[in-house]
Amino acid sequence: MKEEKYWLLIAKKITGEASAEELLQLEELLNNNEEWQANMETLQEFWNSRPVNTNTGNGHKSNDAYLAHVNRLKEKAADFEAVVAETEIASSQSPFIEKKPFYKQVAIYAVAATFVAAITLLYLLSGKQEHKNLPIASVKPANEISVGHGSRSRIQLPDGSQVWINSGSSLTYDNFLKSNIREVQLNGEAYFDVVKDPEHPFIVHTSGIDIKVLGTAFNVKAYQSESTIEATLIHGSIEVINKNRPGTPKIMLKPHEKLVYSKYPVSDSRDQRADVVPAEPDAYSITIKPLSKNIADSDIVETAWVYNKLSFEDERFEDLAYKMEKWYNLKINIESEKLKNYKVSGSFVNETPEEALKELQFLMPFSYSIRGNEVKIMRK
Amino acid sequence: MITNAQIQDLLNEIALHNCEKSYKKLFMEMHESLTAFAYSIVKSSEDAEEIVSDFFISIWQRRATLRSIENPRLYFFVGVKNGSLNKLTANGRNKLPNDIEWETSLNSVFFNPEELLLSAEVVKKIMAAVNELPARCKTVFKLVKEEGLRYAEVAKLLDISVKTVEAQMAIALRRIKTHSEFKNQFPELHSLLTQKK
Repeated sequence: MKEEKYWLLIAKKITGEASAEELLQLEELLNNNEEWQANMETLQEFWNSRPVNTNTGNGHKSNDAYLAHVNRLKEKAADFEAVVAETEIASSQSPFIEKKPFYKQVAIYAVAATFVAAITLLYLLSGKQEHKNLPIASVKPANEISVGHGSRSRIQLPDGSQVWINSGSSLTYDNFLKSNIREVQLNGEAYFDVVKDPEHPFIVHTSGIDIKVLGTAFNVKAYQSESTIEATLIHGSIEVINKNRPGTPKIMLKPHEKLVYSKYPVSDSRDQRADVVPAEPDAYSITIKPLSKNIADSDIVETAWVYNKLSFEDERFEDLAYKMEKWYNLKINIESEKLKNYKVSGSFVNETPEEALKELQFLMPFSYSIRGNEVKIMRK
Repeated sequence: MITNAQIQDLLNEIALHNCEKSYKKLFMEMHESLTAFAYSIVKSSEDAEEIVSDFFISIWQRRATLRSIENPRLYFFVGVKNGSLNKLTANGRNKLPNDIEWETSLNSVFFNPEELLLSAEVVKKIMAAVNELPARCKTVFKLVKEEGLRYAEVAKLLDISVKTVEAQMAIALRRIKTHSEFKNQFPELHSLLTQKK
């Protein structure tokens, strides 16, 4: 690979411009090169640093400039200052005028457009609440990004970390303003590429486990409807805390390892799938499985979705159907027990739902009918 | 750095309530960035102040129409760029957008080395490296690093392709890396160590 290309990727990564594909491409490049990794870290650190606050001096300068500007403005716009009284009333009701800390602090971060959109929405909502004289503490900004079935989304967090959110998932976070930790709450599946910042650990909360990171890329799958929570580490290191077994030691995960946490005991009736997989471990237990080595990140089943690829390996048709429901926003009914237990492997990239079904027909003997977004699958 | 959402909030307040407080806030927040940007084109502080002031006058005059700007921050930068080019024309120094001779200075020179794990000496070297970048490259770097503009926004603002922005950023970061390398930080020590090998 040419060095120029390398630098293009590094610059994009550092400035938060890199796509998922580019990030993983860079990951592979840097994987076996400690010197370059160190370079990256130095640059990222430099990039994230903020200027020494020169505001005192320049604030005065801007203030003087404003006074000079107002004099010029009054010559050209007769309606300026004529409305001062009215303005004072309007602005004293305005939600954001007094919220300096919010301003100042948010201003520190570079934010992606999606994030801005989310803030705007919540900001307006919180502004409305404030008009109703609710205590200010209750309007502490929290952002929730929800992604519906059939779509996936990528956001940039206020610290520059990137998150790809899979379908049917939501991510909640405050603006990382006050606390010394960066915390997010995940319901569903997301791939994280976390900006390294040892002083502000990054924590992903799920219903069963907490994952603490210092700067790394990893995938977390924590759908409410599933019996397990999975964390797959692509690079870096993460620490996993089992919330329901407080005494147990933290678990450090190594790159290319997958951690599986089971939420329920086997006999739990909430888990409909448990009866067909009797060998499942106990509730709240954690197992660690290695990923197959030496495959490209885009081919790893756990992270393929980041590349818009629905990947499955030796999977029961019923489980695949469940994935397809989320992926395509469908409702799939398999009307044959025998079909449900067929095991299939493969991947869909740009296939439409119908094309995907046609491909599956090569693997299994079934016919289907589609009505709206409901699919009925019958044995042939 | 003020975000697009915050700018839009202020603009809405100005449009709906003629809110002069918001107008002042907007001016105060953007003034330094915009005058620095105007200066890098017209190279006169006086002209730069006038360009930004003129632009803010037009903001007040057109306030009712400013409630749905797609990208407010970029809008301000583009407005100031156009004002600056007009100024050059008025001064008899007609320039096409692509022929602007940029003269950009970086605020990042003031970056606090204590916040970094790097030594003050290295930070100084890094900044010197950035300051010696070709003018347009430095402008791109400043807009991305200090003004927080996205690659695509910088491309639009400077009438160049995103590919060019990518390339310029790569050049800038590569130079920073070269200047923060061990062998450049401690040349004597480095040559000693490598001689032994």
